[in-house]
Amino acid sequence: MNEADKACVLRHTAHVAKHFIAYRGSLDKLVELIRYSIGTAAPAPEDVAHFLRCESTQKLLESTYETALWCSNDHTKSWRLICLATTADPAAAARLLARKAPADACAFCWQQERGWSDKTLVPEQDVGGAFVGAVLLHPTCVRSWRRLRDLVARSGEPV
Amino acid sequence: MSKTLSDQVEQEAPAAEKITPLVRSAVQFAESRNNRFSAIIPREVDKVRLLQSGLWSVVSDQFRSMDRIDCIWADRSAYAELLVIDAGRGFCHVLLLNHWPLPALLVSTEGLPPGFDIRYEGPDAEAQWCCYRLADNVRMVCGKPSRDAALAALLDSATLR
Repeated sequence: MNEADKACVLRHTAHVAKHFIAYRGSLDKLVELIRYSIGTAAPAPEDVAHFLRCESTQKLLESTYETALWCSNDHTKSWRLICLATTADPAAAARLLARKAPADACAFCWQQERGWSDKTLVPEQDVGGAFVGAVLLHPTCVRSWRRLRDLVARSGEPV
Repeated sequence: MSKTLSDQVEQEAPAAEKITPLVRSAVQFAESRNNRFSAIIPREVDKVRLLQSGLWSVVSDQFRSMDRIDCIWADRSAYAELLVIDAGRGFCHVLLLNHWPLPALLVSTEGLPPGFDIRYEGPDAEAQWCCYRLADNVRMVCGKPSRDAALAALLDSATLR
């Protein structure tokens, strides 16, 4: 794959993440979705899969394209594609923060980690380092969740 | 000329008096003499209110004079350093040493200038996150991979300088 193809795959990965918000499944299916999004100009499936497996790709997606992609550690080895983009509306952010996620799920993306929540999820900490209720988050989702909290706090509405 | 020289000699005479050096006990580790506290400040407290004694009335008995207090606003909007001048049970005189307003959240509408809109326009290279001027629907910025990047490009553009 040349540089143009790589940029194209990155853009369409972010687009697929925005479409599904939180995807969980096999890498083959994910590659199929991304190639379908690109259309006829898509690179070969094994090239896309190799490109997505690279750590550099996953870091670039998270830092620049507001998209998290990783392979989970549990026995299912499922791949996760999370859209980290947050709303700019404080009222919507307050509504998202008020939802009560299941006990073993990430509060931001709502993906359940059955039996693995103590290893893959971290408890939310407020600005003083104290733990907030029973909110558990993926390490990649912490930044977006924190951003929702700040958005609500600065708008002056009660949480 | 000679007059000025003698004047100088007369002026230097009192400066020659003996300097008393500091004794060994005058210097200690800062940690053994003073504390450095960290306080979380509610978001509605402003800079003036921060210096008033009433805010610190419950906690002030643990302060001693010349302690520092690092203040973190709970919504991460600002950071301040305070120097405790005098403190006791129920009162506290503090001096504001530094106050840094932290950068605004780019994601929120407070960073966006009025009359502009930011939207996600699909995965194409020249679409992605775009900024529009609402008055005439001109696309100011396009092809940015995230909302923050689009907003930063919009704020950099020459029309907003």
